[in-house]
Formats: sequence, C-alpha cells, structure tokens
Amino acid sequence: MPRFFLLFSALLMSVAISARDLPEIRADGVLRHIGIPYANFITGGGAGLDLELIKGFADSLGLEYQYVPSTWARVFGDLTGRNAARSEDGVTWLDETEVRGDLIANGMTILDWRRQVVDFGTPTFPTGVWLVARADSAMSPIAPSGQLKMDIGQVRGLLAGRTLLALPNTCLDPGLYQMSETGAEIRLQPPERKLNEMVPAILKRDAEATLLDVPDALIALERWPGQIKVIGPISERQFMAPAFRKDAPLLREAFNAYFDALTRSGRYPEMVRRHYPAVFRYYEDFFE
Amino acid sequence: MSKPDSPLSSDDQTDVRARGLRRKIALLLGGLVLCIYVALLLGTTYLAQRQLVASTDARQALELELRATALSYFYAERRSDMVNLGRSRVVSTFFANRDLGMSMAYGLRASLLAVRDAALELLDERHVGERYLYRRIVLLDDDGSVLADTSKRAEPASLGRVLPAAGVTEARVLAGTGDHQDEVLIQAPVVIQGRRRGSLVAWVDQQVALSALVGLDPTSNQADRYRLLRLGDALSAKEHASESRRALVQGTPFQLVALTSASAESGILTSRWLLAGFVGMAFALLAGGALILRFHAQNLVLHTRMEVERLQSFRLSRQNARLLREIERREESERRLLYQTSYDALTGLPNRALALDRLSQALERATREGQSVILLYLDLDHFKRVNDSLGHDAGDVVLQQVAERAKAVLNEGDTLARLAADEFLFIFPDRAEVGEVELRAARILQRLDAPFVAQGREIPLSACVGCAVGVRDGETADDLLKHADLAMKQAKATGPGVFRTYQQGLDKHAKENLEIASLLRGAADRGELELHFQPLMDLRSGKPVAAEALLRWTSPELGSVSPGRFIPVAEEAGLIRKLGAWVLQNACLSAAAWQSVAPCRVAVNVSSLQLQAPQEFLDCIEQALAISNLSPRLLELEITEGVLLADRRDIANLLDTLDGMGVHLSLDDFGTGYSALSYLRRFPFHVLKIDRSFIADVPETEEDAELTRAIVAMGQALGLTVLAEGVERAEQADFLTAAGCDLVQGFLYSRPLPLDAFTALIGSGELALASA
Repeated sequence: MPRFFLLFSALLMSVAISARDLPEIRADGVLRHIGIPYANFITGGGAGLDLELIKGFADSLGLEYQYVPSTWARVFGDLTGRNAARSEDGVTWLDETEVRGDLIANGMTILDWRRQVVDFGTPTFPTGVWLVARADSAMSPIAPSGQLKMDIGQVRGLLAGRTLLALPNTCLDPGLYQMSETGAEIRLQPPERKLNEMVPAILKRDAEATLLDVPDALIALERWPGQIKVIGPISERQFMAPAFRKDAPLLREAFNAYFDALTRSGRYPEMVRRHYPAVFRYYEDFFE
Repeated sequence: MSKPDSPLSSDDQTDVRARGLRRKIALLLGGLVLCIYVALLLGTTYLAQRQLVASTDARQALELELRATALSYFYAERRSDMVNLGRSRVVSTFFANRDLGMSMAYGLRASLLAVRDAALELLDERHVGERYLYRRIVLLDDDGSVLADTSKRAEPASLGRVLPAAGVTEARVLAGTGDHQDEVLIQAPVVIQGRRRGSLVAWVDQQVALSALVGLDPTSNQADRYRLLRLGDALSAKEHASESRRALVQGTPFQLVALTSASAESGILTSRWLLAGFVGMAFALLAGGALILRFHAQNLVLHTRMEVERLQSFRLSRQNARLLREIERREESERRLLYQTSYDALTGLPNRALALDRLSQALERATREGQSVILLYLDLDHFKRVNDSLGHDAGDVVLQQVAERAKAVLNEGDTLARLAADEFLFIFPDRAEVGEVELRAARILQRLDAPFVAQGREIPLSACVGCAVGVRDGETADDLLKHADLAMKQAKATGPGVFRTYQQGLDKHAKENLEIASLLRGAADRGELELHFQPLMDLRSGKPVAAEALLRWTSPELGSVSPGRFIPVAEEAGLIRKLGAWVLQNACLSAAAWQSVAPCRVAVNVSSLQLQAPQEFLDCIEQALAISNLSPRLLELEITEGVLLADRRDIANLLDTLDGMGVHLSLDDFGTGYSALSYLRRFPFHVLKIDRSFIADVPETEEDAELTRAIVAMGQALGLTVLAEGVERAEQADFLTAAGCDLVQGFLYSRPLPLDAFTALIGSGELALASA
C-alpha cells in the first residue's frame, strides 16, 4: 500500500511539473501564441484578427505576449509536445517534440479529429468549405435548393473527372469530406502551401477548381472579380476557435471569459470588421 | 470800471474782456463752418445715393449668377458620385459574378452586400455639418427591381418609374418625377462593357444643398430673397410682384429667382429720414451754439470771478514756490548747521559733541553685549609752541596732518574726533580684548614720529596718550572721557611721547589737585605761604652773594605741601601768575630788609607761564621793585631754557629790558634740556646754573665730572658766572673749586631758611665757606 501511494504521488507530481496552465503561465509572465500565417487571421506582415485577439487576451492577464510561428505539420506538437495528424479512423499520433506555446489561434477550424488532440475555446469565427472554380470552368454554380445537404450533394455530383486542389491536415483536407468518393482528380498541395495561395494556383491552371474556406473565398471574389466563381458548398457550416492543451483548462476558461466580455462590449465585431469586412455579408447572423 | 475793492487790476480786466470777445467770434465762425458742412453733406449724399443704387443692382445680379453657378456645380458633383459608383469595382464584381451564374446563397449575395456597403459609405461621406446630402441610394436591376438599397424600406413597386429611358447613358437630375413630386433624384445608368445592366438612383436632400450653397435655409434671413423654381413652374402672385431677375441652373431642371428689390438694401443710407436726420442735426448744433453764446453772456460775471480766482491761484502758487525754496534753503542751512555742530571744521573729524554721542552709544552696546570700548585721549606735546612760533595757520596745517595720520589706524566702526585745539579722541567700540590697547597707542604715537611740515619747515612733534576702557573704567561717556583725560594728563606729567592707562586712583589724584588748587587760591591771603631762602656762596670769597627764594606752603588742611606738588597744580589751575607775583613781591621785600644786614641779591624762580605775558610780568617786577624799593641789581631771575625754545620776539625784548634795568638773569637747570649755547649768546644771561643732577655724583662719576668741567669752562668762556646747585658734600665743593666754578648752593652750606633765620644767619657772619 505505501509503495502504491508513493508511485501515485510521483505520477501526480510529474504531471504537475509538465503541466503549464494559467498559474504557471502567470508565474512565467509570458503567453506564447502559436500561429500559422493564414488569410487575414495571421498575415505575413505581423498583423491579423487572431494576433490582435490573443494580444488583447495577454494584456487582459497582465502577461507579456510572444508569437511562436509554426506550420500545419507540427502545430499540434508545438502545443502538446507530440505531433498528430488526421487518419481515416481519427488521429495518428506522431513523434514527440518540444512544447513551444500555450495556445493555437490562426483561424483553426474545429474538426472532430482535432478535438481528440486539443480542447477548443468558444468559437470565434464561422466558416465552411466551398468549391471555387476558374471563371472559364465548364462547371456552373448550382441552383440552391434551400437545404445545405442537398446543395453539397449537387456540388459533389459535378466533380467527377474534374481536377481539384486540396491541402492535407487543414480544413481543406480532402479526407475530411470524402472527396475521393466524388471521382475528382485530387491534387494535394505541398504542406508549405498556404490557404490563400489556392486561388492563384487554379488561375495558373494547376487545377480547374479548389476547395476553399468561406472567409478566403469571399476575399478572393473581391480580389479577382470575374476570374473565379463559387460553384457551391462542400462542407456544412464550421467554426473556428483557439486551441488549448487538454491539461490547461484554466487558460481556456480565462480565454472564454475574455472573449465573452469582448463580444458583449461590441469590440470584437469591430475587430472583425477591420480584418474581414465581407464576412458580415455572409455570416451576418453569427456576429449579431 | 473796476471797483475799489476788486482783486483785479485794470490790465487783468481788459484781458478778461478780450478773451470773452474772442470766444464769441470763435463760436460764430464755428456756426458758419457747420452750415457749409451740412450743405456739402447733403449734396454728396445725393450723388452717393445714385451710385449706390446702380452698384447694388450690379452686385445682386452677380450674386444671383454666383449662386446659380454654385448650384450647378453641386448637382454636377452629385451626378459624378453616381457615375463613379456605377463604375466601381464592387458593382462590376457583382454583375460579373452574376453573369458567371453564381447564386445568391453562395457568394453572389456577398457581392451585392459589398455594393450596398459602398453606397452606404458614399452616403456617409457626403454631408454638410451633421446633415447628409443623400437620403437614399438604390441599385436597380435593368428590369427595375431593387438589387441593393441603403434604406431598409423596400419600395420595389414605385421605383420602376425612375428608371432611365432606353438609350439614356448619361447621369441626370430629375425633379418632380412620378411619385416623387417633391424629391430631387440623381439617376445614373450602370453600363458594363457597353451594355446597360441597371441604374443607380440617389435621393438628394435639397434643403441641405440649398442652405449650404445658396443660403436658402428657411431659418436664415436670406431665405426670402431667392426661390429655386422648377422649369415650367410659375411663381405665386406675391412672389411674382417682388421678382427682380432669374438665372438658369445649368445641368438641372431648375432656375433661380431673385425676389428682393435693389433699392431696399440701400434704403437705409438714402432714405429721407437719413437726410432729415442730417439737417436736423445741423439745426440742433446751431441752436446749441446760440444757447452757448447766451449762456456765455449770462455767465460773464462768473467767468470774471473764475479769472480772478485763476490769477489769485497763480500768484498763490508763485508764493508757494518761493516758500518752498525758502524752506529748502533753511533745511540746507539746518543741515549745514547740524554738520557744524557735529563736525570739526578744520579737520572734518567729529567734534566733541558727536564723539560723546557715539561714545555713549558704544558704551550702551558694550554693556548690553559684554564687550569693551577702548578710548584713547591724545594730546600733542608742546603744540602751543607751534602756534606761538609759526602762527596759527601753521598750527592748523599741522593739526590737519595729525588728523590724516591718525585716521590711518582706524577700522570700520572706529571714531576719531577732535575735542579741542590739539586734543584728539579715538573710540574703538565692540572690542572683546583690551590687550591690544598698548599696541594701538604705540602705533598712533609711531605715526606721529615723522616730522610735520608747515610753511616749508619740518616740525617734530610728539604726543601723550591716555587710555580708558569702558565699561571697566567708566559707565558713562563723561566718566570715561574724564578718566582717559586723567590718564593723558598723567602721561603728560611723565614726559613727552608717553602712553598711560587709567588706573584707579588717578581720580583721587585729580581730586587732590582740585583741593590743592582750591586751597592754594586763598593761601596767600590766609598767610599760609612763606618764603625760605638758601644762600648762593662765592667759592672764591667764601661769602654769600645771593639767596634763592623758595616758596613754602603750610596748609591747615593739608599740612606742609611741597613745591613739587603744588607748583604744577598752580600752573594748571592758572594760579601761577598770581603766586609768582606774590613771591616776587615778598622776595623783593625780604631782600630789601636784609640789605642792612648783608648786601646780597635775591634770586627768584620764574615759571614759563609767567613769561607768556611779558608785559604783565614786567609790570609785576616793576611793582615789586617799587614796593620794596629794592635795586634791580639786587634781583636775580632764574629762567629755565624751555621758555626760550619758542623763540618769541616779545620774550627776547622782555629779557633785554630787564637786563637794561640791571636785573640779573640766570639760566636755570642748565644741562637738563636743550642746553643750547645759542641761548647763552643771544640772551643777556649773567649766571649759568648747572643742574643738581650733574653735581650729585661728582667727583665719583667721571662722566658727570667731565661734563661739569666742560660746562664751567664754557660758561666762563662766555663771560658768565657759573653756579652749581645741590652741593651737599665737601668732595663736591672741592671738585667744583678745582673746576673753577664761581658759585655754589646746597645743604653743605645751608638749608633753605625762613627769612628771620636767614637774616640772622647772614647777619651772624657764621655763613662762610670753610675754605674762605
């Protein structure tokens, strides 16, 4: 019995030592924000909606803010100490690595396999995935039926034999939407490719169409008017949120409280309007 | 005609009348100038009125044109707004996306909302103050249906009527169209790639535009001056009556009408009321002038009185000025007097009064603060000789030089004052130490060492200094000064160039002096004085040839007082002449008495003070000789050489006179002073009296013996009889005999004896030299 107790205590202690939740972060004085440049959430120029959001969060806690750049391949390892990837049956755990940050925030879509790796905070942004094609594509935009699932079916029905760009391990991962079942020729993009490079790629004729998240699609429609068209939806409605280690519930709760106050004060919609003015034209209900 | 009691002279009255006449003329001329001015004013105003009407017409026409042009520009800008919005990226994106077949649900709605946002942004940007120029902007599809609307109110049915007609590609301003009779609309077709796809329609807030650009705000005072009239519409009857001109607003269906008349604006300046006002003012001024003239006449008496007052005031002020000058002069005089009462005119030093005042203050301070005040009383030695020999001018020069040299030892706060002729006072206040007193005194005396120069001659002078220290030696200025004076006098008694500090007891000495002087004054009358006689023996004959009369005083109060004590007191108290006269007279009487017993002279000591008044002294001798009936040849006067230092002509004459009378003159105390041979040659002395100090130690002291021999040889070489006094021992007598001395005097032969005893002595024949 005493031996067991000793073992249990040692285990607790090791967990306590490796954990880095809010008290430890406060003691350290630094909040480390893991991010990948993506659309207007984190731009290459050191700005973006999520950068502003997490800087404000660090300020509210009286902490120094530190940005930790990462990639889609190792972003979960940077947060949890072990890399992970989506697999057919959920999650594939990969190699262990050094923990470099306290939270991820770069417009990360909440997906089921990701929930097994991290805990998400309150959703901060609505999203979805559309099929976007070059203007000269033979595919025509669908006629909306009024029901999202039926519309998704219409789009999938158009893809047989079409070339399609996708980006693994992101919200544009074709596996998420069983794209292989559509008969489309899927051209996976290298991991270093960024989401906002997908439209230029189809304009360069790398493929006829691409999967694209709604915020990026709205920006692309303004940037290349008349050169691309939205065929229809690929996914159901999704949400983005900051991701936290599962052993950092206090930090997550603190963020949720901060975000709630930010939304109530009306400052969050203002921030969104600065970075994504067009999103109100599509997801007006979310921000109301 | 002036009344006898009038304060004005006839000249003054004439002046007043002339001044009144000048005023009347001035008023009449003023009235005339005023009339001319009013006439010119009326003429000029009439001409100005005509020009003003013409220029007002021109200005109003120009204003109307300017306002119409401004309105035209305004609507041109509004048309541009709509054209630019129609050509914007958001509008073309929307139509492009729609052409691509995108559905509203997936992307196209966002494009359309971007158009609406652009319209809302334009609506926000266009405002004057806080009011917006556009009330609503709408994007219409080519079939007239509403695609985007900045207003929440949807009016699809009515908006179809504001569509431009087919083929219209220009933006235009519409007024009173369809259901919008009171609205002004800007309509602009949206043309993409040469094909009309729809149109933009904006509702303009006409009131904001007019108030900002033309000043037609209903609340402004210019609102009733213009009317914006739609082409084809007519004015109301009232407006028509006040219409002055019209101007077309280019690019719009409006014309601008000016309603007000030109004369209305200039009515204020050119009205009859204004002219009447000018004329009325002129008459008022004339009437006022006339009234002033009348009042002026009535108030002539008052004016006259005022003039009198003015003249009196002027005279009074002149007297005041004189009085002020006099007061200043007196104040200056008082200041000078005050200076004179406080300062010595010769040296510029504080005088006695001021010195005492400062001393009092210093003593008060010293008492309060536990300090000391050092007081030095300086008196020049024999200064009187300078005055007597070189005259007072030279004496003044010397005193000034003394003052200058003495100032050099002063520090700030110290005082040097001149108390009397040659008496100076130093006050050194606030001294913690009195040990420096000697040093200071020595320094002062040292500064006087160098000879003074007056009238080209060098004058050596010394001084005695007495010191007293307050509060120790005296608590009041008078006491302290008295004690310093006493100390100085003690120094004087000691010799020239001496410094003495006041010691307790000096006071007592002074009191004794006073008592002695007081008692001495009546001593002769009370018979307390007596002459004793000591014989002068001829060494060769061994017989007395003369007797020196020596004064003795026995006071009932003081007992026997020595001459050494009371003679200086008598000199100081001014009794010496009286005393000297008494001695002379009694000596002569005594000598006359003993002539029947033994024929020998009587020798009388003469004080230098007696010789200061030569004539009085001569009278005194003559009187004594006359009373006693003594032959002048039997009288010998012993004079000290100090008397001769002054080198006074009257004293020399006196000596010559006495010599002429046959009086013997003896030079007393030879060897103690200057011992100048020149005196012996210049003055008619018969006897040279060697001072007793030479004789005291002969023959034992070789030096004195040599000096005595030399004096004897010298005297005899000059034909003088040489007498040695103070001979008390036989050895001295032998030495003097060997030296060839003529006469001797001393206890060896006889003590001074009263007259009776002396007469008995010389009558007895016992008095003879052993060797005789």
